[in-house]
Parts: sequence; structure tokens; C-alpha cells
Amino acid sequence: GTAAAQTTLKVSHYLPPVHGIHTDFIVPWTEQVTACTNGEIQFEIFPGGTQLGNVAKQQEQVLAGVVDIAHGLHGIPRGRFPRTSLIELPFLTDDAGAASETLWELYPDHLAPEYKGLKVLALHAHNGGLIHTSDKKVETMDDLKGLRLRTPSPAVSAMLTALGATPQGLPPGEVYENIQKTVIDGTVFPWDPVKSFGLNEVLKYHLDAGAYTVPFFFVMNERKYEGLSDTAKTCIDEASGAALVAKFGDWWDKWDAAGRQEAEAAGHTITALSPEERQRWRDALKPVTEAYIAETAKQVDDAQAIYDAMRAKLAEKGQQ
Amino acid sequence: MTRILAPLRALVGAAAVAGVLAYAAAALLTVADVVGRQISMPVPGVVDLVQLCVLGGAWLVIPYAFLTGAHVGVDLVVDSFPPPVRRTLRIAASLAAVVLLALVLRQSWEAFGMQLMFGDRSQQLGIPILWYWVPLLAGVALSIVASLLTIIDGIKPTVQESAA
Amino acid sequence: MSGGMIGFLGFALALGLIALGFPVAVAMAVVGVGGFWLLNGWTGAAFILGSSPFEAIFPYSLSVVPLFVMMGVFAARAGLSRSLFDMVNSFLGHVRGGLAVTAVGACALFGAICGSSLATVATMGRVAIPEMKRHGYADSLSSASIAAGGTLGVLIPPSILLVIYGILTQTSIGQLFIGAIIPGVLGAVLYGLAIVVRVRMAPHLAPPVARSTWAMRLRSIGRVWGVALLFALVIGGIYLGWFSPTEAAAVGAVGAFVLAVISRELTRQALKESVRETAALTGMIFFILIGASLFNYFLETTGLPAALIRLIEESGLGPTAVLVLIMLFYIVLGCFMDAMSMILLTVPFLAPVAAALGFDMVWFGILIVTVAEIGLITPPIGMNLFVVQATQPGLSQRVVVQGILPFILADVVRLVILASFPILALWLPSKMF
Ligand code: NA
Ligand code: NA
Repeated sequence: GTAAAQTTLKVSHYLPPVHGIHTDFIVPWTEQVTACTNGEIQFEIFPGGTQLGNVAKQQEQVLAGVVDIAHGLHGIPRGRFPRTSLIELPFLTDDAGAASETLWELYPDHLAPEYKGLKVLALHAHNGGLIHTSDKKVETMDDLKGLRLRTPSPAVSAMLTALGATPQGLPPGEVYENIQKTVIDGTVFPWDPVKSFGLNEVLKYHLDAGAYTVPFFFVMNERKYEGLSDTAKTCIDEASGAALVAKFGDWWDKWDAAGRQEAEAAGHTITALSPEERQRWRDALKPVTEAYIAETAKQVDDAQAIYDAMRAKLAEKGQQ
Repeated sequence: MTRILAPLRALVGAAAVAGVLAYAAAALLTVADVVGRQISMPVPGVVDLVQLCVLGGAWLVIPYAFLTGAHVGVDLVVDSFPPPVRRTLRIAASLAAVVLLALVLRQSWEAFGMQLMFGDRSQQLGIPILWYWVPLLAGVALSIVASLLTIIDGIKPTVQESAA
Repeated sequence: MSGGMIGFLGFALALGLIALGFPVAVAMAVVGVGGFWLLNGWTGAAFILGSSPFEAIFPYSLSVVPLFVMMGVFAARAGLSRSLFDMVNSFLGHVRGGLAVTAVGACALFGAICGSSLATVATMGRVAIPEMKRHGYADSLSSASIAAGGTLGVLIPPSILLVIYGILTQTSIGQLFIGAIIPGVLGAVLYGLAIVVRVRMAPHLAPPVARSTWAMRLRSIGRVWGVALLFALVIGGIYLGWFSPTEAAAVGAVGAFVLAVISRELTRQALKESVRETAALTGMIFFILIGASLFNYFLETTGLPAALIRLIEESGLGPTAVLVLIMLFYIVLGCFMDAMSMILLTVPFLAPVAAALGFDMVWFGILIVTVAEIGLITPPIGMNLFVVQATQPGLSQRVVVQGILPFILADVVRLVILASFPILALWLPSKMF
């Protein structure tokens, strides 16, 4: 038969090709679209470690048309997605499934303005992050006093400062040697990167605080999308959106489980934050949350409304 | 001629001094943090500051490397060529560098504009992205100047030879 | 024309430009941008032109480059390195090649803390080559000793390359660190042997000096307290957990400056020259990093590395033949890329091949890092050869290349030994874990 003209789309992301994001999510997604279009759409993937795998450039690459599709972190560089980043505020959610769906449901009415030029294929967020330490066991707020902890985002830095710890910005690849040399006392991460960066070798204590999450985007260049055939557009739509977002809860559980099992096998101490202590942290962090929203409101008029909408959606999903 | 060129050379030299001072600042900030954290007085956002000093310092010294011909190359083949050919090749290489740097300047300016529009700031301290781009753009522009100076220097011996 | 073919032509063109005397960084950048333009249009070229000058220098881990260079420059200016080499000379000067062997050992030690080959060569080249020259050593021997010695540090923990490999392949970083110690020491010993053999064959390369008396030796020990203090501070501080290896560069730079001031050798003129040296050397290294980044963008989109690996994978050859092919592949790729880019770019494709052949991943990682570093000293294009050349004004690449052959032979011997006896890499980890 006469095959339609082939189009090759470039996909980039910043995680190593052994990561679940690559093996469970992006590769199968591209295969699904290729099969659905009978081979019309092919993909070339550039994972972390390649020149196109720089975490800070994912959004720009898509906008510039250097790649067609990218998966990246909203928080790096910071401040580009102030609306979406409100999900990072402390104690909003500790569940990847609920957080991912909330983002997707709020996207059309509340978050869309910050994705100009982008066709948003999916938004998601990881399970509640933990506080991992090497020598000092953390159970209460007082244990955090003076600890130097690596943090992923300004929201988490503000949270740690309010709780008495010293936040330290550091590239994820440098965390291992800095913990090993006791330059920092630990790091704030979900379970998954603890395994992918080999950190269980240098950590001993894990406090399951469930205190924060971090959002991720999966986006396509809008003009490129509009220029595709109707079949291709339909296939991409079918593979993306709500159907894709719904998968992230289980995926994150699976990716995190590997890190937790590794820690358990190594005989580490894993503690959950007690309900009373959790309330103490919440109370202590109220001013941080308010200040962060006020700061965001300088850029985004309805920051408070978006935060409230996030809380309401998450409450519907049984969070808090 | 020298009256125009000497100040340009001095400018490249001054940028290099500023660049090395930026490195020194990175070193002092790190040492202050190392000492400070022993007494619970760490330097906040030291990684951000070191990155700023090193990126800025690097771009301020790069023009000097162009001016002094510090950029290394392979002389194995070229050494066997007659001097006029060698000189022509040297000038061709400098011209290639000028074209390349001009393109870098133009596109870096665009990238800077885009990041300015996004309101980008450094990850921990929120240092405005402007601080990173100003030394970078100045360094690229000065590198063009430095390459042009080396071209002028490269042509000069020919003049002397023909005069002799 | 296929992407792989364009990749080959790009290699050839860059090599041609370099042979015609274009600076390495400029040749790589021009070919990288031009090739990327050809393959991805102006939008693509425009993007990398605006991105590489920032992103190639931005990583925090690169701060070790300028700071260790400063440490080396001040240490040399303060006469610290002079007193060190005088001491070594008083003990070993009567042994032919003794200073070069010592320089290799010092490189291994310094590389161990600094973790960056380029920074090691830039620092030790500045410190050691003038001293060897002063003692009558030929430039070819002294410069090649430093270029080769600079490759040793990556195997001695901490090593950022092993961390990256561990992350990419999900191999224990701790086991990699421990496993790399014996291969690293083996490398240093073989380099030492290479020097001894070379000097026996060509004695004029390293003239001996009269044996020193014990009184002279003791006096020379008395003068090295400054260097001893600096090294003890930098290395001890890392192992005591006072600072990370990255931060050690800053401590070393400030420490060397303070010692230079105390020694009263840091005159106004000496300070000026220190600034000039630091600027020229770091400017050149950083611009090479930018050129390499632009070239790597191009190389990646041609799909050449991936195509070559597929070729190896589908060759149907046995484990030994595949291992040999992989080694050759890395040595060739090492012509253009720094070890870090090579590992990031190729290990994701190679690791499954290695696993399928039943290779132990710790052993394989140590082999890969070893061979990736060898690319740095193989002509025509080896980054360490260029950096060592840049540390000595007037030193020609021809002279450096003349001296490097014995070290490449030593590396080949090391690879054969490591490939034949995996136990060398696996014995220590088996005791510790
Ligand atoms: Na090392
Ligand atoms: Na090479």
C-alpha cells in the first residue's frame, strides 16, 4: 500500500534512560503513537545526559522548535510557572495520583495562561517527599534545627528555613559526595531519586513527612502539533491528556517502592511523621504559605484563588 | 593606529583582571561558607554565588585568551608550510573565530532577551538572570575585539617584510 | 546522506581544520554549529549558539577548574613548588627520571582530590614542568609525564565520572569507588615504569645530579613545610568531612595565596603575572568546553555514536572481541570529546550490551572510565596534550606528542591486565560489601 509521508518527532527529557520516566512512560508513549498512526509518526528520544537533556532547557527547546516534545520540571529555572508551582506549597498533598489529576483538572481554567505556545500533553507531580539524613535521626521539628539539607525548590527552601533547618541548593548529581563528606546532613527527595542517585549507600534515616510535592510537564510545540495530519493529532490526543495523567499515580508508587525497598533491605530506619507533629509543622508553616502566595500574587492576580481551588480539588480526592 | 588599538588591548586586560577577581570572590565565598558552617553561620546560597562568579569570571577572561593566542592548536602539519601560508591560515582561523563569535553574540542576546522576558532568577537566592548575562555578553563582544586585534597583528609582519 | 555519514564528515572536517592550525575550540565550534545548522536548520543552530556559551560553563562542579588553576599559579609563584621539587631532587635526583616519576605520583594524588583531568594538568603543569626543566629534564619527558599523570586522578576516589557511570547504570557508587583504587594505583606504577624504561633508553632526557648529603636533604625538608601544609589541609579536609572535593579547590586557592603572601615572594610584578596566567589558561579551557559542547550537539544529532554501538551489538562477535571494539571506539571518540561527555553519551547505549554479554558492571565501569581517559592523551587530538601545551608558553605540540608514546603503551598494558584479570577491580569491593 502507499504509506503516508513519515514525520519524525524529537522528544527530550532530563532523566537517565534507566529511569521509569523513560522506560515506563516516554518510550511506551512514543510506541503507542507510532502504532496508532501506522508508522506515520516516528520518534527520536534524547534522554538526560545528552546535550538536549539539560533540565533547565526543556521548555525553551520546545518553544524554539529544537525538539518537538519535552518532559521537564516546572521549577527549573524557577519562577517560569508560578501558577502550577503553587502545588509545591507544604502539606497540600502527598499523593502523586491526586496531585497529578488536580493539576490536569485545573489546567484549562487556572493554569493555561503560562503554557503559551505549548500543547500540554500531561501534567503530573510526585508522591510526598521525605527528609533523608545520614547520621542524625529526625522525628520532630526540634531535630531539624541546624541541619543542612539539600532542597529542590524555593517553596521547600522556605519550608525548611521556617522549620529551623538550613537549605542548601545543590545539583542532584552532587548530593552523593556532599552527604558522604558530611558537607550536608541530608536531602529532601521522594524515594525514587534516592535510588536513582545511589543515595541509600550514604543515608541511614528517612522521615516520611509527606510534606511537599514537585510538578512536571510533558509538552509539545503547538505549531508543530497544528501542522500534523488529523490522524496524527487524534492519535497523540488519545495517548495523552486525562488518560495519560491517570497513570502517574501508579507509576510513581512503583518508582518510589524500589527506593523504599532498597532502604528497608539495607536496614535503615524509616519513620512516619506523627499526626501531632504533623499539625505542629502545619501551624509553623502557615506564615510561609501565606507569604509565598502573596509573593506569587505579584505576578498572578488570582494566586489565592488557584491555591484554594487546588485545596478543594485535593479534598475531593480524599487528601488532607 | 596604536592610539586606537592600545586602549582596546587595555580593556581586554582589564576585563581579565576583573575575571580573576571574580574567581577570587568565588574562592573566598566558599571558604567563608566552609568556616561559617562550623559556627552555624553559613553563607546562604553559596552555590548560586559561586556559579555566578565562575560564569562571569570565565567570560571576562576568555577575550584575554583570544588576545594572547592562548587557544591551543596542533602545529605538526602547519610547521612544514612556508611562512606566508602559515600567516594566511592564522588569519583565516581568526576570521572564522570572529564570524563564530558574532553569531554567538547575536544568539546570546536573543537567549538573554527570552530569559529576561521569563523573569528568570537563580535557583536558591533568586539573583536576576541579568547578572549572569552581562559579563557573558561583554565577554563575547570583547572576544570579537581581541580576535580582530590578532588579525591586525598578523598582517603587520607582511608589511614589514615587503618594506625590507 | 545518512546522519552517520555526516557525522564522519564532520569529524574529518574538524580534524582537517585543526591540522591547518585552527585552534581546537574554534574548529570544533565551527563544525558543530555548521553541522547542526545543516541537520536542524537555522532554528536549531540559533538555539545552540545562544545556549552553549552559558550552559557549558554553568555547572557548579566546574568551579574546580579556575580555583585549582589559581592554587597552582600561586603555589608556583610563592616558590612552594620549587622547594617541593628541590626536596624530591635531594632524595631522588641521582636516580635517572626520578623527578618525572615523582611528578606522576603528585598528579595522581592531586587528581584524586580534584577529579578533573583538565584542572589537574593545568595545575600540575604550571607547578612541575618549570621545575623539571630547571633540573635539566627534556620538555618532551616532563610535559608528557604531566599530561599522562593527569588521567590517573579520575580512578582514585572521589571521582565524578564514576558517580555519573553509577547513576546511568544503577551500579553501586561505593563499590565503583573502592574497586577503582587498585586499577588507579596500577596505572601510576605502570607510568613510573614507562618513565624508567624510556630514560634508560634515552638517558639525555633526564640528566642525573650528584647524590645529596643528608644535611642537604634535611635542609630541603625544612623548606617544604608550606606545601606540606597546603596538601595536608586540602586532602585532610576532604577526608575529615570539613569540605567537599569541589569546595577543596577554593580552600587550596586561598591557602596558596596566603602562603605566597607569607613567603614575601608575591611582589606586585608576580601578582600581575599570576593574574595573566590564570586568565589565559582558564579562558582557553572554558572556551574548549564551549567548543566541545557545540560539537557534541552536532555529533549527537548525527546519531553516529549510537550507530557505531549498534554495529558492535549486531556484529555477533564474542565478549572479548566486543570488549576490544568498545575500547577502540572510546579511544577514537576520545579524539574529540572529554571523558564526561563520552560517558554521558555512550554508556546508556553500551550498558545493555555489556550486561547482555554477562560483564560485571563494576569492572566494566572501571574499564570504561580508564579507556575514556586514555583518549585524552592520544594524538592527534587529546585534551590533556593541549592543556599541558598551554601551561608552557612556547612549548610545541610536536614535542608533547614525541614524549607521550611510552605512556600510551603503558595504558595499553594496563587495559590488557585489567581486561584479563577482573579480580583486580573486584577484589576490594568483595571485601568491603
Ligand atoms: Na578523583
Ligand atoms: Na585522543
